[in-house]
Formats: sequence, structure tokens, C-alpha cells
Amino acid sequence: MEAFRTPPGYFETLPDRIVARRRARTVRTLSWAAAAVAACGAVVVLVPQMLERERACETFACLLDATRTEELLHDDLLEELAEDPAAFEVLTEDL
Amino acid sequence: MVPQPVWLEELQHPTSSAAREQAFRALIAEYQRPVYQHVRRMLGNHADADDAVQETFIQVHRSVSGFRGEAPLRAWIFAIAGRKALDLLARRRVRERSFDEAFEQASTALAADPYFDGDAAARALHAAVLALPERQRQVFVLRYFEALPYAEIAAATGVTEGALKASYHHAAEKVRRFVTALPNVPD
Repeated sequence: MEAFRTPPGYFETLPDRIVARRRARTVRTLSWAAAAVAACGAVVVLVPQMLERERACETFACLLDATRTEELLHDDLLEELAEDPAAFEVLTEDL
Repeated sequence: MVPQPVWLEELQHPTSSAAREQAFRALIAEYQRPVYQHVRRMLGNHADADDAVQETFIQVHRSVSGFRGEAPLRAWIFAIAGRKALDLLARRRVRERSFDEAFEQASTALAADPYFDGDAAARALHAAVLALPERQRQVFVLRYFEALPYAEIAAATGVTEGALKASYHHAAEKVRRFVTALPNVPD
């Protein structure tokens, strides 16, 4: 005879408790995995954007956008500067 | 190779999640009692055995697709159960105790355990087992109570047969010393 006993009904409920515990763990694991995937996705999307922002401007429009100076310039002057490489160079030196 | 039960095939190559759960429940129904007794002998009390037995079956569910039948399924499951019991013991490890001190503590705990029905001889036997160092305890329980051959234990645990025999010999000597010290207990 076994010396060790169990509470009454223990083996009748054990399979349900094991299945429930396994499911709960699977859900927790999936939640962690989803959070990890989301974090990786954010890195993949944001890092290129940050690098792009730091890259030097190669166009006049980009330069204006980056330095927030367009509101200071008259529309006509903007067009003139855009068509005049020399003026563009002078402007970038000032900035 | 020994023919494997139908539910093992379903667990390893599931046809649907419902069928897999049904197979998992069949596996639990087949092994829950021997696995429980195995970890209870290693851990002593019901609460720890309950925790270890649940962790054992969750691990079996996770790993069964990799079971290739190098060891019999029963020995493979018992090896997982033994590791879960050892993990639990490691988490609850207290200061090192002498064998005599550990035996006294285990004997006192069994005497107060509402789910222990053994007489004085059974209590001495199980207290001596619980006082064994963890590895010796695992080998002793698998060999003495489950009567697993050394070859099966070796295949399931990855320990050589020679090392298993040495562990069992040391464990059996310690257990014998305490059990035979009791009055009216035959050697």
C-alpha cells in the first residue's frame, strides 16, 4: 500500500489544472513574444527615420524644411533662390 | 522497439489542436499517479509534489515532439519528473544539513503530514529517502520504488550506469542504516 495519500478527488481534477496551467503559460509566452516583436518593429521603423533625419540635406527644399526658415522668406525670393545655385550657396553659408 | 501508444503519435504529429489536447489528457491519465508518487517520494509533501507533477506534464507536452524512443517513454517521463523535483528542491534549498539532522526533520514532517498514512517503518524509510542528497535520492527512487533498470535510467538521464550504481549503493547504505535501526524491522 502507498504511504503517501492525496486530497480527495485530486486525480480527477489534476488533468484540468495541468491543461489550464499550460494554456495560461502559452498565453503569457505569446504576450511576451508579441511585445518583443512590436519592440523590434518599432526599432526597424524608427531607426531609419532617425538616420534619415540626421543625413545632410542635399536639396534646397530640404534645407528650408530642416532649418524652418521658409516662413521668413517671401515666395518670390524662394523661387529665385531655388533657381539660382549661387544664391543657394550664399544662403547655406549664412545658415 | 516497444510499440508506442496511439496518443503519442497524435502528440508528436497533431492532426488538430482538439485531438492533441485529447491525446495530452490521455497521457496524463496514464501517468499521473506514478509520476505523482515518484515526485512525492522525492519531495515529501503534497503541495510540492502537486507543483512538480504539473510542471512535469507541461514539460512533457513541450518536449514530446522530440522524443525518439531512445529510452522507454516511462523512463523518459520519470527523468523529466526527477529534474522538475530537483529544480524545486534547488529553489527551496536551505543551509546544508547532516544526514541525521535531515532525517529527523523529514520524519517529524511526515508524522504531521495529513496525507501520509505509513507506519513507523514506512516513515523511517521515506524520511531516510528525503534526507538523501538530491542526486542519490533521484537514483534511489527510480531504482528502488519504480524498479527501473539501470540501462533505462542511464538512457533517460544521460548518467553512466557505473555512476548510477555507485549513487544507488551509497543511498541504499544510508537508508538501510536508518530503517534497520528501528525495533522490530527486519534487515
